[in-house]
Amino acid sequence: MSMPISVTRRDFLRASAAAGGVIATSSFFAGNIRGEDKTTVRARNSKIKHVILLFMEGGPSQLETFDLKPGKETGAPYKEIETEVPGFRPAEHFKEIAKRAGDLCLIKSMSSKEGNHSRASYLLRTGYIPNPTLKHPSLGSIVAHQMGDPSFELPNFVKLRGAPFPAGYLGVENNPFVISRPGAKIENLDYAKGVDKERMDRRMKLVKEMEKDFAKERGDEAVEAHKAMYEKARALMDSPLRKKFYLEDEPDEIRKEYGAGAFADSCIIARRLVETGVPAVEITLGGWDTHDDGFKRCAELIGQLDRPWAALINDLKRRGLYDSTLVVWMGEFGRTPKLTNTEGRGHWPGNFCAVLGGGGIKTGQVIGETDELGYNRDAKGNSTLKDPVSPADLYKTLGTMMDWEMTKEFEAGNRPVWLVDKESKAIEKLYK
Amino acid sequence: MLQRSALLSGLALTALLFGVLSEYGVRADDIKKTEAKEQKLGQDWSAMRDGLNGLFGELQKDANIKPSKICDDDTFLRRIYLDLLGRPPLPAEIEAFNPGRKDAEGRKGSEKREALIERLLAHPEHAEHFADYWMVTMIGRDADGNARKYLRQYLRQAFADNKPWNELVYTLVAAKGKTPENPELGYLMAFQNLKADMAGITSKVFMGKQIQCAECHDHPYEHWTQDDFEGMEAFFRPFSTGQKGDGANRYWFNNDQPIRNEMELVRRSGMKGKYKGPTFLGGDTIKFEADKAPREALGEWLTSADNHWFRNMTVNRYMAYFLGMGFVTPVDDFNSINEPTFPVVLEQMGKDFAASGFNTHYIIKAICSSELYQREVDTNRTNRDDFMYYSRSFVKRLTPEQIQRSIMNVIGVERLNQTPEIRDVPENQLTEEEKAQKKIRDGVQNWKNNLARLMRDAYGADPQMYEFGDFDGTIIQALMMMNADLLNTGMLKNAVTDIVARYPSHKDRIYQIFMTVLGRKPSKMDLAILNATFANWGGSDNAAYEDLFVALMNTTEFITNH
Repeated sequence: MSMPISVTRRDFLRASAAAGGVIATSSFFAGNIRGEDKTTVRARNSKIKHVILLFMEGGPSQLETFDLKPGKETGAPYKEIETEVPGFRPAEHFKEIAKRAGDLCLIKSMSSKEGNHSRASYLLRTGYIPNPTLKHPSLGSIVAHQMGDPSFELPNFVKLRGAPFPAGYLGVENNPFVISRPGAKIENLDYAKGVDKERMDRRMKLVKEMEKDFAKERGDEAVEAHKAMYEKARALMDSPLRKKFYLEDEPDEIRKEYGAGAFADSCIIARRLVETGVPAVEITLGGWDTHDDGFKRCAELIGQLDRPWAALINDLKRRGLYDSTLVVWMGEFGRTPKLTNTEGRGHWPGNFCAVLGGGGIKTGQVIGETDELGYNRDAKGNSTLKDPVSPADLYKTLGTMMDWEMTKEFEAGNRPVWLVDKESKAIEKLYK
Repeated sequence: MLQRSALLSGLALTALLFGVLSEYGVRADDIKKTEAKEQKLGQDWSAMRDGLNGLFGELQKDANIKPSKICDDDTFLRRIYLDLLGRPPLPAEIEAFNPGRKDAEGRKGSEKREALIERLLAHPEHAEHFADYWMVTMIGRDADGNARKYLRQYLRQAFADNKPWNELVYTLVAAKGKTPENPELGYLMAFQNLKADMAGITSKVFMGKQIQCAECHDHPYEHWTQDDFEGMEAFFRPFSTGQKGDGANRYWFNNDQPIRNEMELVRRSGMKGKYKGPTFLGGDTIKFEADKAPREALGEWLTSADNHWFRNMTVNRYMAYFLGMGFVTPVDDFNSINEPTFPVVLEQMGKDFAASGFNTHYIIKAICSSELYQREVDTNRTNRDDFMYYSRSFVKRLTPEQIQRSIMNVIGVERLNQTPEIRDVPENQLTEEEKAQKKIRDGVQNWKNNLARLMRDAYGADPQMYEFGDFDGTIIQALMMMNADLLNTGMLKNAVTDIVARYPSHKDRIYQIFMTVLGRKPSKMDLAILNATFANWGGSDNAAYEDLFVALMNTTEFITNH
């Protein structure tokens, strides 16, 4: 990245603050604007080097997972499992995770006001409520930006299933690399039929030649951003590390430990990537929007989740990676204590659960508590939720633990913005 | 060089112009001396164009900015095709325009360019492209499939008819009836009965007022309160969409709760026990009117000629769309700390637009035929940092819809529209010739469907991505453009085979491939590079031409408008 380009781009933005410009608000060029960030030393003062986010899409019920109210009118007909950690009593289907209670920290008092899937997902993924004029980066993009090495052959943020979520003002190089079918052949990663390395090389050489003239006359920033993406894509195509996306060379006994299914495969791939140096991985497990038939569906979902999650923890521990890898489990909101007549529950952002582990945090504890029926307010509407944690608080906690540049003012379009909401408060119990 | 008289007739601003100029600090003593001549607004789009030319010419001069040159015909042609049809011009269209020379009707220069703008605005692909653009702007790429289908259908017809913008928007906001007869329901269907989104998006897209921040808290730097938000939301509260029927017979209808009196109006629109009635943003609470849904009252207010937010937002969006930079940025965020760069000009253009009967072609023609639109991207020492006076053009990133349309037309160049309609009879009753044509047509259709899927996979569809320019480059996209079988085999090979068969000489072939993919004639420099490349490749078989074709599709130029 040559200096003149970034200088021009900064001036451009500054001018745009007054003049405005579609181009300026786009993050198309953002990677180039912040030339100085590219050279930032990414090693932050933190034990945590990797983050794996297990995102439960649809709003996982707290009452069928980690905040059961057995025997109560709001409770599920599930038994709890007593664990070594007081207050950590997961549903009976969490046979393996129950054994790992000492390696986890449960937050029962996550709380927000967003009960709409899209808005709440945005909030839990970024720590901010959606703002139509600004795109906040999601957790993986922040981690990629703050802790990733830009010259790494693999993408710094890999997302296994789920929709792409742009890195916004953090620039294109921190966008997620989305694998929609984990373990399966990644589309377009191989040369097209009839094309070999030699032909591809000559094509790209011609592109490069053609770009020189275009860059000179019509916008070097666009060409730079374009070139960076292509270089990264080419490097990935020819990289021996790409086998880390696949499971062929993974020993059978390990695969057995994680179990079968797309989520299990994703967990193994996440470990392989983390082991190779990828700082951020997100895995999506959908299907948690249980308006009907919740008892049966949650039991099934936990069946997909329990063994791979526990295996991931065991595997990371065995390889000495658990202390440097933070594993976060959460969804966009919880579900209503009151049951529907179809054994389902509605959306409930007022209190829900998140589970954190690894990264050297203080595990074996439970934060927050709901009342005996699972509500967070008394009859008069006063909050009864113990130690409430907002999504922004959670991000502040993560940012503090990972030593993100939280006081740094970033520029998005024409307004200042921070990685984490300045008004939020970190949960000190997690790391102090 | 513009004559003062032309300048003064411009923007229908005559009397106003010197006020505008002096407002921006231009010393225009000689203008003051000129006799002011009042012109009627909304009568002549070329007056708006002349006004823009004259005004910004003066402003540039005063800021000591020397504008970039007016671009050549080739550049203009590609630029206007991408903006109005969403794809580059194809070789036959380039030939027809005859860059640098007279067209078939003997026109040249600006006259020829204006004739092209007219022709493209009437082109069926323009309605298709603008339907895509506006659908994405209104409801995004990830909205419900049926909502998208119906809204797009409505918009396509509306743009084909050049429906006045106020009527178009009114129809969406006040949509009634049922699908498929009333495809306009698609707009509100997309919000899945979330009234807050109906109010928030409607305000944002059509007025540039971002009241959605006030849904949860009073707006941080605007005077909008939660109360204001609820007042706007209340218009939509009695509304919902219902669905009936199964499978192919499934249809959607507006399911408004009946409102029979004032009390019901307030109650139906009330929330949280506060009973906030439907209230225009910054205005009055509506009174009950029999046989009139609150949404209809909102539609009338929203689209009235007196609503300067509505008309200015539209002007600003088209300025931003065509020039890469509007008077307000972000394009749809008008607020007290985000004032327009030239408020008086915006206001005047807004009035002109309203007076034209909300004819969007009026502003599009004025903008696209202006010097502001037709400047080169190349800058000089004086205007390199101009992000305000429109003294140069910007490189614009194509939207995924434009990229898809470009790929489709470029690779499908020879076969896309070649096959005639096939009689609607069982397959075995077709003649052999018809069968062969049908096979080609089905193949092309199949390829188009696969391309749409490929694009969706590579670009994704994210509810957060509403806006022009939201799409960045990703590794996945680069991989798609380089390696997708769909862009390397079958249709691509056909395209190359067709060109090779039609043009016996190597020189013509590379010329043709270049024009097909990039939508312009190659420059001397381009040709030098291509000749050197082919010499180096040591052969000019089909594989080499394929490599050229695909390489050009992977250039920055292919995915940008400059």
